[in-house]
Amino acid sequence: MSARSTIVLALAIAAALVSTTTAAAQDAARLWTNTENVRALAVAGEHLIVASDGGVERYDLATGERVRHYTTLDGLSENHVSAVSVLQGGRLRIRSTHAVCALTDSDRFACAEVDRHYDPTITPAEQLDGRRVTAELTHAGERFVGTSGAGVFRVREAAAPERLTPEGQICSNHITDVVTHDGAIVFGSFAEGLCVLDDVHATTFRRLATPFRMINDIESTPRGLFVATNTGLYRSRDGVSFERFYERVLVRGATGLAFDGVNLWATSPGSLQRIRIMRGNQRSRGWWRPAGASAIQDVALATDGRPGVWLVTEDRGAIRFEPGEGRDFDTRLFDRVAGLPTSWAYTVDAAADGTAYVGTLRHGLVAIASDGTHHTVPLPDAWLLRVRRTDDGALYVGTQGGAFVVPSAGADPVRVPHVPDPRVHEMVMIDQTLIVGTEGGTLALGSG
Amino acid sequence: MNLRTSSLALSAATLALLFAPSLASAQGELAGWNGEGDEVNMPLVDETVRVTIDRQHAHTVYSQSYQNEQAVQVEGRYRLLAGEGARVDGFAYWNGEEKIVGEVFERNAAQAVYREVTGFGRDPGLLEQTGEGAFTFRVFPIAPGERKRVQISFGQWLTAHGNRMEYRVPVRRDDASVVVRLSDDRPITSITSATHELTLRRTNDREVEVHVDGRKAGASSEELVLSYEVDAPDWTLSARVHRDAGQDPYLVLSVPVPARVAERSIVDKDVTLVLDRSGSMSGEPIRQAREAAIDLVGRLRNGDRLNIVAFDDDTESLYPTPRRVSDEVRDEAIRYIRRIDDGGGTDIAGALRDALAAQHSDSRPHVVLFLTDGQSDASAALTVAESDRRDARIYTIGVGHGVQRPLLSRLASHHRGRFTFIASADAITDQMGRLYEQLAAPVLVSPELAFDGIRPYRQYPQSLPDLYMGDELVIATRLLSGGSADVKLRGRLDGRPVELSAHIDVGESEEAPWVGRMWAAKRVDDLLEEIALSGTTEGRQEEVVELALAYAFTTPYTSFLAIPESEMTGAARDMVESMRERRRAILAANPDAAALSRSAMPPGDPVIRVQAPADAQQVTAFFPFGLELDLTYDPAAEAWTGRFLVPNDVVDGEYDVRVLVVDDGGDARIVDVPYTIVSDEPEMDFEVEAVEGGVRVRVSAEDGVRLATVAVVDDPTLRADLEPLSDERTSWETTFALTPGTHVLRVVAADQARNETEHVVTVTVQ
Repeated sequence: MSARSTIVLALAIAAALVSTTTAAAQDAARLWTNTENVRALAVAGEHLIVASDGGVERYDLATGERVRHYTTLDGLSENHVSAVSVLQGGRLRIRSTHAVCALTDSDRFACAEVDRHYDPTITPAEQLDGRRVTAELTHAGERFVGTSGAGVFRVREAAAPERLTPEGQICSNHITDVVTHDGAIVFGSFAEGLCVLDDVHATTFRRLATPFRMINDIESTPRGLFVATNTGLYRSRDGVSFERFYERVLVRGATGLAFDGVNLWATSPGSLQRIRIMRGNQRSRGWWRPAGASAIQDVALATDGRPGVWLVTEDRGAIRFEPGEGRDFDTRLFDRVAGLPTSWAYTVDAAADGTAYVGTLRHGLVAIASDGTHHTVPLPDAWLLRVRRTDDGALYVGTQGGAFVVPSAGADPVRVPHVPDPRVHEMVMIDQTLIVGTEGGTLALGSG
Repeated sequence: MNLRTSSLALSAATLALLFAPSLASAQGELAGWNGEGDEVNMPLVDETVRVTIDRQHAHTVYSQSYQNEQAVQVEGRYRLLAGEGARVDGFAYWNGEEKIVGEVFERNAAQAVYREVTGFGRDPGLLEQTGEGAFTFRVFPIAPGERKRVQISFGQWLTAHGNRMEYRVPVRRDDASVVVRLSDDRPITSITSATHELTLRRTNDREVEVHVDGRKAGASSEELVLSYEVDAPDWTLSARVHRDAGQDPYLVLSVPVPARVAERSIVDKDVTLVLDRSGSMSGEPIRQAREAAIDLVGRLRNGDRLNIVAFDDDTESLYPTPRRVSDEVRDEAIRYIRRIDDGGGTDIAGALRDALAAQHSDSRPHVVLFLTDGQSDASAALTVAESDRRDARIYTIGVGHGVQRPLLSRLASHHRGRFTFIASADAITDQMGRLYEQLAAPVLVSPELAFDGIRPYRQYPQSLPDLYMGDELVIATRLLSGGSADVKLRGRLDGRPVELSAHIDVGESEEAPWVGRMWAAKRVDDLLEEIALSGTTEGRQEEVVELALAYAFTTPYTSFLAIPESEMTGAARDMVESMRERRRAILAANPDAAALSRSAMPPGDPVIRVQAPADAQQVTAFFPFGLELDLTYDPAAEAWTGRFLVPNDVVDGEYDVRVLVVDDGGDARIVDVPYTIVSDEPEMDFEVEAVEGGVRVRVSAEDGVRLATVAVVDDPTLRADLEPLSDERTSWETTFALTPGTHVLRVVAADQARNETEHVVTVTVQ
């Protein structure tokens, strides 16, 4: 991952914290969501209102153009909106998983928390443009159709359906990994493939046609862009087309990637592969079930002065793996039997001082020093999804309860504001902009 | 669920050694019968076949529509001959626009529901297996003018002949829509059909979509015969592994004998042909058997020795012992064969005893070919086979669907032979000729299997037969835990020892759920053989039922029942719901067959898999926590898949994901996929006992243990994993070496959902 100064980050956060309504905050925070999963439709005055997994949209009925897109930056409690209605007087009310929200006179939503309610009507759906129809309404003789995955359409007789939903959206609301590659920013999603933004200031995403959908990790190298997916490891030399890479050993699914300048380290649930992709003396090598692990989740380069990597697993905790000659290797395990709070670890990165930071599924963030001693880093949430170190000693920590920055070892964590969904899977600084990937949209926090 | 009982009996019913493709045509048709009991014409008006062939395993979804052109309602009797080894895993029919989908239930319960509903003048469908690869069901009523659509799906292994495979399926209409998706891990070099025109769409050299364009000019066959070849070196031992998360893997190994093997010296041998002449063989069977026997006599070389044994209640031999073949012996044998006429009952034991007792005592090969269509005293016959220690190879041939297959399979397996099933009497001559052609030249003799690095269990077949020209050896087994391993098949080829090997990496293998189904079917075959030969026990029957319910196939104890909701009586509804509840419980307890990658999980990110046709219009999963997920078809997994995360605020408990499946015809059904959220620390029993030189540590849990480890608290690099004491994995144990003194130990154990619990104890080692 690339990292930039936490000073820039601190400034960005400070700007965002000044006010949620000021122009400064709007400049500092931008949100990318995908509105192609439509949940409900309504008409309010001259506008078509669309409730989607990426917020609420307002379209001009006359022109079909989107004139407003409400997200959590506009007061919604979450971007997954399941219902919309128009109250007397034309006021909008929406329903999300945990809240009911009403549009106020300031053109922002105000929300009240309610119990989760879900009682779907399970019936076969019509198809439009190859997608399931999820909502439809007829207004003034025109039919509007919402779909699962293709947005909203205006359907007129004897004419092809006209898609109203803007093109060029981010490919998913659930982003798991973000990297820069050949000057562009590549976004990997949980289950909807890859998309690319030319630079952090661009507004139009390009969706890549890929032979995979479910992405676990991405690594940019001089030898191409590598993508670990649940159906194997893939490489793109041109940033557009992808081919299977190292097919024979990682076909079942690749979980993590790390690049040491010569070798690509890749994991599958049951193996670690060191794949030489640059010129070097070491041969490619694979190790099956290192230290008995059968569910490896992530890999990070070790920084304690010795070769090798850190692995984190669902069953053996964290493993410091040091390759030897040939197939020889050393491992040291840090799991519950070794005194960690759990053996289920999910994410790992190593700081410049050699400390490995291990994010566990639900037992917090554990720091393991070079000498093997370890302690738990205080955080407001113990369900970890992502840990990233920065070059200057800060930590980015994504949890199921929000995004945090730990400016330095021992410092109190700072909560990142404006995060659209508490489940944070990625945090990365690119061109002085902190990008936060969540399950409900991707936040760009910076100079804008 | 107990899928791991301790039956270890030899099984040849599960012998996956097959001969050349059956000459019997695949058939599938719905015949109409009127109220007078007369068969009436009911034309086939639409036909669709969708086939997925993944590394020699074919899965077929076969749909037909028939038109009742009669002025009266008729009854439809559907009959499918899918071929040897085929397993039906689904069937359905349509009442107008309503699709009635069959579900597997215990046979007794299914029949009770059937009786309950038919008692009210309503008519559900009950699909049952009537013989090897033969299935039937009844549809009533079919109204005048009604178009009746039926659908049946089945899986089967395509036997390799060298590097060539052949697939057959009924295709009766010229305009049938037939698509075959073919994939292999070896390059597919050619795809041909003797019967139909094909259009090939290659994705790459290992994946091809075959569109069948209609019957070839001049071809009249009502089946599609599709052949394909792969590019692989001779004597390649292929391994296919499948593992469901957290479960023991399945492995299918196969090796075909190369189509052309080097000329070898043919050794002289003794052949004893034992022919059933009982009353049931009268007519075409005995005529064909005679013809086959005469053909065999003509194939023998002068150095061979021959005897003929004919039996019914009594046994009669041509010679006291096999006699050297000469022109005179051939003439005598042929005259003897022509005199064989059908007669009384069937005493297999007596005939076998006489045939074995008459063998010479020398080192040349002794082959007993035993052909019968009847049933006999199994225990007496088995006693004869088990008590005979001579080296004769017994090859049993069963004719017709009434044959006592378990007995013949077991007799063959005891003597390194194999059982051959011949569905129809008119194929006896051809099949016997083919069999003898192979037996004339054994290629790989006395094969044995060895695993290095992994432990197999429940391997089928348990004793491996000799391999002959045109053979393929197919072995299905489960593996105790994952890992990488080398598998070696050793034997003697052309008189010299040979070793074939394959390397498997369980964790790195592509998913292939059919591997699990194939093993389960062979396990069921073995249990049924045990039941047929040794009697029913509650444990055996229970395991058959559970496997059949979990993997969805018919057995003598399970049936597919399809019943429209509108025709359900109150009592029937209660019974059906009770049966569904049981199946849900079995699936929940048996993640091997469940649709979720983890059936018990903490909040995390499993993948949901739903078995539905590849051409379904819509497969949408509705999760109780609010997620609606449109699934995507994954050909490798043979399933519709989607990835999801369970939010961490979902409380522990049992849930159902409701999955809406809309098939290509627009018919919808809802499938409930159970799963359990578990996040609590499990309850387990820990025992730590000082023994000489260390401690013995044991962890036990009723619901099973996934992993258990012990370490010294002050120095956790001193650690050891416990090992499961049984397949059930409810108790794990290790002896942990420690220096004399007092030590503080921490023992940590995880359950199937990877929730952990620990026990810290101080022990003193003397």
